[in-house]
Formats: sequence, structure tokens, C-alpha cells
Amino acid sequence: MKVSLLICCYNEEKVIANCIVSCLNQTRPADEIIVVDDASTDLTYKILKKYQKKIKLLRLFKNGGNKSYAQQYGLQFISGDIFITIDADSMLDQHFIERIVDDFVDEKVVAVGGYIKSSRYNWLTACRALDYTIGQNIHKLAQSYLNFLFVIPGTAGAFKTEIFKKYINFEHDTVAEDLDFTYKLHKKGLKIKYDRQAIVYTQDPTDLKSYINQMRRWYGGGWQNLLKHLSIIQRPAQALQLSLIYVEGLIFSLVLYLLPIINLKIAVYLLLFYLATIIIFTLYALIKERRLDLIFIPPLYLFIMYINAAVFLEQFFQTVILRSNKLTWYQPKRIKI
Amino acid sequence: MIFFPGISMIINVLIILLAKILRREFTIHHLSLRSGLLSYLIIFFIGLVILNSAIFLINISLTHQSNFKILAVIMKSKEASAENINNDLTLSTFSQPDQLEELSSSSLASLENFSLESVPTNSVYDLPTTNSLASYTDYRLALLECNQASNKFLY
Repeated sequence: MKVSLLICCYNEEKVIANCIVSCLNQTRPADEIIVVDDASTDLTYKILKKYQKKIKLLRLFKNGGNKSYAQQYGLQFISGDIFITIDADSMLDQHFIERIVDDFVDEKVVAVGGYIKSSRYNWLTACRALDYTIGQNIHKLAQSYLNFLFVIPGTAGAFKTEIFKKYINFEHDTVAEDLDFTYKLHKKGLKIKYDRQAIVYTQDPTDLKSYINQMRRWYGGGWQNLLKHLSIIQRPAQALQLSLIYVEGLIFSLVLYLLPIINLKIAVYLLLFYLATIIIFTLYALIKERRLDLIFIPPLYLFIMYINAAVFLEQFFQTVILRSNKLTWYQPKRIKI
Repeated sequence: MIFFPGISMIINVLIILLAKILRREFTIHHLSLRSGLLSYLIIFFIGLVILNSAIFLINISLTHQSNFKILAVIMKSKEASAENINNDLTLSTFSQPDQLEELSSSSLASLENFSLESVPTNSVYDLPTTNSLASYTDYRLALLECNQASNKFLY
């Protein structure tokens, strides 16, 4: 089985070298590494040129404003039976490709979603680590048992090339391309596997502004894709999980902001309940990820919860009610870890 | 996508447990979107009822606690007033009823003043300010009882 890696990057001079090195240091080496430089204006292309002998380097001369343009371009050059998409700000665990190849032994599997871990930096990345741990070990695990993985992460996804080229492809009308191709796979009734041992380390936003902008893209992209693929909810498992995500998201966000106006006492009790829940989640994440730095996170996560809820409502209003298409791809500020 | 901690968490944990028990993946055949949303709303309202009940129980226990505190203060004040009366009465021996006149004018004055109207709503017996009608009524009733007891004792 021939394996290709597809990496697209735009102004990633601080992180691209780590990403390439992690792709090269695999227990099961990739047969082909395709890197598309999406018209970077910094040193990214220069850094990539150092690895030119080991990678297939492509360059776009005009930035499309959406990662999916670069991905679509790179897809034409893929010759592997399966291909793996990785973000330039991520690093693969050394067993990643080995795990993915094992997952495709089952011929019914057409795509695999990996497990993301957040690189340590500050309290925001710790909050995100908590999100990832709960999201992937509870929600995604349950979804995988129902054969409805909500999203194959763009930075840890693997696909059968032939099927992807035939039925899926990268489209540019949403800002969450990973949700777009995941929904398309579900609509075709194709099997997606979730592998918690295929690990990718990613760099999450380290400042509040970048965090909010990323959440805008995620939630906005989520609503865009739900509207685009509304027929997906005709299937029971999808209907259950999507209603859990979107209905609960709306109810939760509204309750969080409206309850203090209606009844302050109940709002305080609810907040205490959430705090207790977050403490339990934190303890779970602390043991699961062996990260002691998470111990101080609960009160900060409560604050982040309010931000998430506000952005969720904002994006619901803008994308669903106003049908606004203002969302653009946003690249968080990178740091060298 | 970031998830919110709520009912989805409970449902997904149940799905995981069920899958672990059954040791296999499973599909839901009989769940339509409508029934899915309906079951979600039912669970949501059950959750609300449980939350409200919990708040109600916490409220009840807190009220009981404060009532016990008020009761303790009233009992203390009752004992204190009874002690005062006894102290006053021991000055006069009841073996000789006419000696009742020997009660000091100050003691009599204090007993006369020990009426429902003249007693201030707080401070005399170091009672906390009465915030609620219930505790205020309890307090006044206790005073009335005290008054009646002392009257009975005297006459």
C-alpha cells in the first residue's frame, strides 16, 4: 500500500520544519510527501527548499484565501493508494503512518480520523487540551460506535485516494473543509474509522484574539456545512449526534447568557454545577493525558465556556439567520515551540 | 468543534457503556430526527426538573438551618427571661402572698413592660433582625408565650 502525505502551508516559517521532520521520522515511512506552498510571503518556501530531496515541493503564486485551494491543487499530484492530510502547524507521532496503514487493512474503511493532542504552551492551550481529551474520548468515541464520526480532522485525516477523487474532492464554499468532506463521506454511506492511537500534536492559538477567530471559523464553518448538507440529518445516528451538538450548543449558550437575567440564583447554581462538571473532566484529562498543568484550568475553562457560547450564538446569527458569507480563513499567530 | 458539557455528554457516555457491554458497534434503526429531538427535549426537561429539585432541597435545608438557629436563640431568650423572672421572684417568697408587694418597683416595671407591644422587634434578647414574616411571627409568638408563662406564674 502506497502512502502519500499532503501538507499545505501559508506563512508557516516558525513551524514547518518541525512538521516535515516529524513526517520523515516515521516507523513506517511515507512513500511520498507533497508540500504545497500557498504563496507564502515569509521564509516558508526557503525552509522547504532545504528538504527538496525528500519531499515533492509545489508552489502556488497566488494565495486562494482558503486552504482547500492548495489542497485541491496538491491532490492532483498524489499517486499513493491512501493519502494523509496534515496541517503545517502539526507534528505526527512517529507511529502515525504505521497505525493508519493498519486501519486500512479493513477494505470497507475509506477514511480514518486520528487523535489530536494540543502542544503545551499556556492556559489557552491547556483549555484546548481539556476540550480535545473530552471531545475525543467521549463524544467522538460514542460517535464512532454509531458509525458517525462528526469530523475527520483536517490535520489528522487519511483517505483512500481513488474514492476521494471520485466522490469527494475539496470544495471552497465553506471555511471548514474537513467538515465538508466528512459530511460528503457520510452521505455516500462510506465507512470511517476512528483511531485513537494515530496521534498528531498540533499547535493551538496561544492568545485570546487568535482563539476567538479560530472559534469563529470552526463554529461558522460548522453552521455553513450543516446548511450545505442538511439532508445528512435524515439518517438516525447522524440526526442524534447533530442534534446533540447543535441543539445543545444553542440551548447551552442561551441558558448561559439568559439565565442570570431571568433568575440569578438558579444561574449561580448552574454555574457551580458546570464548575463541578469541569473539575471532574479535568481530573479525567489529567489522568488520561498525564498533564499536571491542567489542574488549574477549571475556573479558566469556565471563562472560555462563555467565550465559546458567545461565538456559537454569534455565528448562528450571522450564518443561519443573516446568511452572511463574511467568514474568511484565519491563520492564528504561530510560535516556535 | 468544541463540545458543551451537557446532556450530550450523558447520552454519549451511555452509548459508550452500551457499546462496551455489547462489545460491538451498533446502529440505531428506529430513531428518526423527530424522535431524536423529542428524546433530547424530554431528557433536557427531566434534567431541568432534577436541577430544580436539587435547588429546592438545598433551599429547604438552608431554611431549616436558619430556622433552627432562630429557634435556638428564642429558646435561649426564653430561658433567660424565665431566669430573670425567677430571680425577681426569689426576692419575694410565695409562702407569704402579701409579700408580693415587696417586689421591687423596677422588677414590676420590667414585667409590665414585658408586653407584646412594648417589646422591640430585636435587640432586647439579642435576636437577629427578623427578615422574614415566618421567623418574625415565631419570634412574636415565643414572646407571647413567655409573657403568658410569667403572668401565670405571678398570678
